[in-house]
Amino acid sequence: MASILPNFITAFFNKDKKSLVDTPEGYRRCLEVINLILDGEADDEQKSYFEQKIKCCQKSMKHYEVEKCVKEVIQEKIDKKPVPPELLDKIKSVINTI
Amino acid sequence: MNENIENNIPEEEPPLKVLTPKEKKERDDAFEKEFLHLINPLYNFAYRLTLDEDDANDLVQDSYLKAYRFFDSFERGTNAKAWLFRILKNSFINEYRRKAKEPGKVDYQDVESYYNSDDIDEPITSDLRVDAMRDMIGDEVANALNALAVDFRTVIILCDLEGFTYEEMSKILNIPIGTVRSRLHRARMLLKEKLRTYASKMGYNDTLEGEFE
Repeated sequence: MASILPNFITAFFNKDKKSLVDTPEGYRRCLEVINLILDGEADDEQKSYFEQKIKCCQKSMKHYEVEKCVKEVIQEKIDKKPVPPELLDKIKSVINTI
Repeated sequence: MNENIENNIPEEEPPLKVLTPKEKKERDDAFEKEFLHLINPLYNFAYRLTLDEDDANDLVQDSYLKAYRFFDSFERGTNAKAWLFRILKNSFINEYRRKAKEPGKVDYQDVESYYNSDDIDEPITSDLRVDAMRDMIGDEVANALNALAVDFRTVIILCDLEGFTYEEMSKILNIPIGTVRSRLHRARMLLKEKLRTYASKMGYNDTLEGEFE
């Protein structure tokens, strides 16, 4: 069922079942795989775990959304500090004198 | 991109060869081409480590000078950015971090030992709301990041801001990949806690439905 139905339908049928993240061990495993997926570091087995388990678990998907958002917020909201204009010239000039 | 980051950075500075003006110019041109375009991310990294513009300035300058002295041990065409970041990180640890360490400041080793201990019963923390994070301004996110211990901050900067792979981070930081993963995991948990505090101040008190505390 999980493979052919949209996530929200699967989540509805699974709503009385225990969630993947309802135990500390499950939560830890879930977050670990989510981070590997978001960092582009997951192997095939972890990708398959993500596709088959996490995507079908409503709470796990919420965690995925949060983790994804944390990463995006860091990338989008933290300003790049501009390099002082004289620094590059200073480095070049010191190197020249070596 | 992953290859040979450590690229023979010797412990001691090599003596500089005596070069003819032509050789010196060729060496300088090659160095500039390979490394100087990386000054923006390098300066950002230095600033996020030191949290001080003058210290970041000095740190970047020192790192470039060190890179210049070690340039002959760098294998051209390999991962210049990771090589340079590794030099900067080493300079920071050896000089600036020691200088900046305040009495009574929490020692990172203690923090990491605590968080890496198998005995720790990791709480299942309630999570943040996505809309709360989206409403945050850059300063709040930066403050949350800056409030982390420097080693936790470093892995987030390298991974999320600079896009290094775990393998590259492992080489830059000289730690096993497993430690990169666990440190990143802890860093993100701590960062979320900081962000949650901001979210709470903004009036977002709801957590994920059905979450544990």
